[in-house]
Amino acid sequence: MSALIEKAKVGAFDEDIVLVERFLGGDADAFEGLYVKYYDKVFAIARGVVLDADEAADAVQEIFTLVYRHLGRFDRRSRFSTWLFRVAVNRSIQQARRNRYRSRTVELTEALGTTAPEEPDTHDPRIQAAMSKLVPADRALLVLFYWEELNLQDIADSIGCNVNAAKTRLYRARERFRVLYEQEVG
Amino acid sequence: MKGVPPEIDQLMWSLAEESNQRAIDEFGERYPQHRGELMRRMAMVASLRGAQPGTKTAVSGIPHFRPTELRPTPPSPRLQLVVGAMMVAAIVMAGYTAYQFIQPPAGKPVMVVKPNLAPPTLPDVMPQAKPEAGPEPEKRVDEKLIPVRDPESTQPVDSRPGYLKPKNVKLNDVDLTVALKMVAAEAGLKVEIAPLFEDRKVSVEYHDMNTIDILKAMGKEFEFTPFDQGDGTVLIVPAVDKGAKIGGDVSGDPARKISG
Repeated sequence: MSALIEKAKVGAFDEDIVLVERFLGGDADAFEGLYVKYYDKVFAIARGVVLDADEAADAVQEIFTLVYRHLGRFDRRSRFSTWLFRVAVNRSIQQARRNRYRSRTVELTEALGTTAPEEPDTHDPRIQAAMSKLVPADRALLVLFYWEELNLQDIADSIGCNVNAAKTRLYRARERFRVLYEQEVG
Repeated sequence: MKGVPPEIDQLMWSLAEESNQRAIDEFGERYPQHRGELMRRMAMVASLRGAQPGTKTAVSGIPHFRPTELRPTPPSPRLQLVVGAMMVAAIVMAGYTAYQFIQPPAGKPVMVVKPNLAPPTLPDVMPQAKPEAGPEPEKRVDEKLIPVRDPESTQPVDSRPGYLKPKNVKLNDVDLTVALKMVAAEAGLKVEIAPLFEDRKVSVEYHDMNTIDILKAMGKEFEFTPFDQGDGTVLIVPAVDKGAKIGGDVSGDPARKISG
């Protein structure tokens, strides 16, 4: 246990490291624990970036597949959740770019009439419209800050830059969103 | 945002995200002109936060994890830009290398000299008509097959000296002394450069002009005077003396008077 504490170079002990070490030691069930713990958060990130629930579900499976295959590369210089979110953001942005040229309209909620909606449609349609016009990288920043409520340091770690760069990128993404949103408002 | 000082802009975002009512009221009292914008931002942030989708597990449960085949992802725009820039650079380098290979080595200026001569033609030979059958008449000298020149069709042979034959000259970025020597040499002349002559890179182009006229034109353009020495040598003296007849035309041949 002391070795695990020494490996964790952040101030607070990262309890996820225990599961990581067990998985790398051959315990496959340990990965299931990480998967269940972080599925919702990863799904929320993916859905906010790709804008479609089905695409987000596929992206989540790919994200956890990447983590499953490359967990040995986790260097423990950050928390496991930060590293996981970084994989999630990058993969979601890649998938959003792949879907960029699709002509169909995607919505944040399930399409009515095909499957039962997950929650009542109380979301502001102007938010959906403005988000759909943003580039995937901008959506990712807004999702991490406003939905996942990560601090700037965690956002910087998730997108692979320093805090000042993350602050600047967030400011610009928010400004672009504001312009699009006010256009929708009219 | 345009028109809003950066510090006010940043303050409004902070207030919109913190929703501290006391701080919002103080801001409104201090910056009443920005109060409306602050309200709009607060509404936008609230809507944005409220647009967060619900958790999937609350509705349909977490699907079982199965490692999947990863779909290929498109390269990032930055990577595409870098690869594209490298390809463009490679194409440019290849083209430049090929161009350098084709070009003649430096130091050998390209001189295009096209003598403007009519092609010489052979005199027409007009055969005499065959005599009718019978005793062969006595041949006379004037009835023999002799070459006859058709004055209308035969071009005269250009017998002018080389320095009077019109030509086309085009030289690009060559030393002036080299250009003079090349122009003169093509006409069988030699050039002597007087002291203090200032050499420089020149580009010249002349069409249908003989060597004498070309040297005169170059003298006017590059401020020198060519003097025919009469022995096949032309002396190049810097500066142009307008009006004065300078130099000796010892040959007496008016066609070879270059100066003046």
